[in-house]
Amino acid sequence: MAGLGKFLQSLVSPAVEAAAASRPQWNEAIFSQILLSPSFIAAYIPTASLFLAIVLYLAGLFCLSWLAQRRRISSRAFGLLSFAWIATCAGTGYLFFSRGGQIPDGVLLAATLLEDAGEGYVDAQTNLALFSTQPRQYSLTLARGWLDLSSLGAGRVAAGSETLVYRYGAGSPRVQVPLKEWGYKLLRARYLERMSLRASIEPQIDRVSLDVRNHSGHDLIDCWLLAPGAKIALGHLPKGERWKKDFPLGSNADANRGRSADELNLREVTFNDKTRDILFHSSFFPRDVADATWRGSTALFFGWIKDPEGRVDLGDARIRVHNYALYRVIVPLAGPEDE
Amino acid sequence: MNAVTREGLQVYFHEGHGLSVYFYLVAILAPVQFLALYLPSLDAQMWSGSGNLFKVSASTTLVLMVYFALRVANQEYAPWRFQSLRTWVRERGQPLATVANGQLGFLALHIGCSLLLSVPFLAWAAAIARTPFWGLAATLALLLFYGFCYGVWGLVALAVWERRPESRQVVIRCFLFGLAVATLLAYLPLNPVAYLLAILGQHDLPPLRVAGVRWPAGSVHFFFHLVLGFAGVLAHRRALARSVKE
Repeated sequence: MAGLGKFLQSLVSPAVEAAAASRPQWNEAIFSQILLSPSFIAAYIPTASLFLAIVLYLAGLFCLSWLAQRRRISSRAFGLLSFAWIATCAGTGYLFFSRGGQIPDGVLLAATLLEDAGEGYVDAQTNLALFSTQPRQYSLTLARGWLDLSSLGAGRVAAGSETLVYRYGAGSPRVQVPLKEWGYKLLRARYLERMSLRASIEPQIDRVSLDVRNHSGHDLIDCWLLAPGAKIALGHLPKGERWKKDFPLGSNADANRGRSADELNLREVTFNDKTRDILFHSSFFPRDVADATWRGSTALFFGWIKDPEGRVDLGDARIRVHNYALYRVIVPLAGPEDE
Repeated sequence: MNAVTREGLQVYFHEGHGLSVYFYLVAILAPVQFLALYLPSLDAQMWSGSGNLFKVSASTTLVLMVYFALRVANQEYAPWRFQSLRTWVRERGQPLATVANGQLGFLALHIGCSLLLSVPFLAWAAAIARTPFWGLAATLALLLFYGFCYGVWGLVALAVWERRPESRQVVIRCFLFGLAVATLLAYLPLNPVAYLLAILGQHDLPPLRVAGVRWPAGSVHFFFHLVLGFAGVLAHRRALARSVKE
């Protein structure tokens, strides 16, 4: 329990600047980036349905006008059939899009950064963005291990509902968030939870040893090891498996490109998912945080949790939830003055 | 049916010369609507999502409807298929009022067809953007209203410069552009796009102050457009009468 004790002690101790620097960023600029990225737009807009509706409508009109031009149907029939087709498309489309149409009432984006807290526990810092396509009340149930929940900025909530309202009962606290049409709320939560996922990096003189044990029940995907002179894409670590590998620290080609020899090059790390890219580069490892822990001479291991569990439950199928979770370990390397 | 209206129907729909107008309308509206889904938010304090979809679709439809109404009224499509005013009045013995009503009737029919073709796009956009039904209904009514108020000036140009089609084309484009700029500069609520966006966004428009009297923006807007429309109808009849006399 030493690790847990140490972690709990850190919670009540005065604010530690180093921890604050490595805390994931969360603000409206990052939220806007995610919201407007084409890959995420499909989460709240029926692009495919609308495209299909437009194509079908135009195809119908084209067929009717072609038949009329070829004198296959009379002018009167052309007029009546066109009117019927337009009315059918307008009516069914209106009903489809207004009563569902794959448009969710709201979308919850949860981006969690997991860091080892020792003794089988992880410190989970979750950034939440809840946005709504219509005015309604949202009830967020917080999962076990919840430590803190705070609101970031005013967002765009219903009038008089700028503060969070907590409701206790049935074992789990709930937070009421009323949102306007096209309103949103940014939140930040912190959890301490048990997770059998542990990665350790042992820095040596000319190499690093990596030991990752994944008994978390989830695959770890898109794993990377970064150290000065080493940038290694490790791929996926399935659940229940373990990696124990040594990697040499290279001569550092980055130094020849005018970059500091100790500086990790995170910019070139990309993923197949655009949302992950934005979260990684803007939230978990923001470029503008100059004094972050990973800026110094460090070794870094990270991987995305595949299909992570939600730490906030909305209990409504009309609200779409997107969970992202990144596990990371940052280990400072010994500098020349330390040796 | 009025002979002049029947001629328009024959040329546009039976012979198919006017179908290109409706093709252009839907061919522009469809991609604009689809791409509007991806429009970034204009306001840093709120995410627009697809909330602006209906506004973009309605504004585009308004501009297209007014523009094509002016061009159709001006007989820019298949002009060789239409009989001249003199033919109607002198050779075919049609009263001037019949010619005027026939042209107005065909313009109204064209505006109705344009609106009908746009209705699915507007209805889908309204549903996706969660625009209330009254917003959709008000938009459709306004589109008809504007189409007629502006389109009638295409008939005026046709009657005044019947034998000079190139001049007419320049005049109606200058008229539309000049009016749009003038309304934007003089008093924003006079502009139809600005007014439409304001009522859809439920924004309060500033009243017009003249000699210390405050006139509500909505009243000023509708008064201006009613005057514009009626002035167009009167100018059309006077221009027809003068054209036949010459």
